Amino acid sequence: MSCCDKEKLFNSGVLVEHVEGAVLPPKDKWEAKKGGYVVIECPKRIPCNPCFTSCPTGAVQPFEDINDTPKIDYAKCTGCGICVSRCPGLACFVIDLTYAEDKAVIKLPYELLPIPKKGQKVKCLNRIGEEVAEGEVIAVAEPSKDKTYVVSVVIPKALVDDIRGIKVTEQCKANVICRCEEIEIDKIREWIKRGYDTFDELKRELRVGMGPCQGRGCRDIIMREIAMATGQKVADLQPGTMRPPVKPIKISLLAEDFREGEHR
Amino acid sequence: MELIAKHPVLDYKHGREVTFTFDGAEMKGFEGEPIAMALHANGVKVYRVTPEMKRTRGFFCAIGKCSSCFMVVDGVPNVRTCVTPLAEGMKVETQKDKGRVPLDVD
Repeated sequence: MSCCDKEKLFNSGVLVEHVEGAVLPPKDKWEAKKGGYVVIECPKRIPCNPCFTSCPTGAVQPFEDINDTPKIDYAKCTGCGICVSRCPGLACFVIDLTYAEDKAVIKLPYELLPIPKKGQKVKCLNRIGEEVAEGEVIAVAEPSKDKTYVVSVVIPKALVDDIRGIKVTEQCKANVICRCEEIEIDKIREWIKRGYDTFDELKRELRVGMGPCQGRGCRDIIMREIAMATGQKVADLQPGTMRPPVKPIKISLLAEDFREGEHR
Repeated sequence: MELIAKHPVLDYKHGREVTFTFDGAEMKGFEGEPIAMALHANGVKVYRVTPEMKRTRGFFCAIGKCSSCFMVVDGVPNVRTCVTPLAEGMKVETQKDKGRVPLDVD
């Protein structure tokens, strides 16, 4: 984050350092606390208190002035995550450091589509939205009163003060390159890796380019893949053998030509 | 039928209005215009289902280059509907497999 303008980041709502209203729980207690502690990153004085009103144990201290930043009594926090779904600013998180030796669990609010599923791998984002790790979703809590989901993600423990968001990418069902024969890019890449690095070889192994369009759809993409994998230029590669007919025709058109063994 | 009626640079000279069927449903289109265009104008977006992965296919290249719009037309499979002109009474069907050639051996 050193490359960015700290003031600009802070003014656009990104936490740049720990200040009043946005502090991490005491390290020693936190590390042993099953269920984790709440982490509220709410450093600006704004008139808002649902974290306090929603907290069932009173861990978020009463606000003297509604503009105050939240203060937490960690002795009372159970890590239930109710404030996570209730905070309109999505500023509440629960982080549990007891999950595994080098893994932690973060419960974070999620208000985008698609909703991740249990077991799904997601990209973990830092406070400025950069992808910094991959995490696994272990629970998705459906909203009780509002529409905010609470997603529990396993993240590297070293990044507990870094990861504050996730990016859920719809799992691609199939990335079909050869549309006629339905061959996926993963399969093509796998075979190029094995050493089948000309179009003709791939064609014989996978049937790419052997469908009705005769490679008009996939040839360029496959050539580019071969070029990338082998470090050659597309222009230097063999384009593969092309054979007539160049467009689909009825077999009768050909059969006519060979009538009675003649070769017209 | 939903077609562009006015266009700043293109003039449309439609042919005769004809009736055809799509999977048994009667539809209207203009003679000589691509079958796929008539289907599109009638709101039909799925032309075939691929044989391996059973994925739906529709309009893709629209110039007779790919294999996306293959349909069974008057019993003949693998007809490129994006470049095949529509005619009166055509029987257009969704293609669900590789397409079987109608064998009529004399």
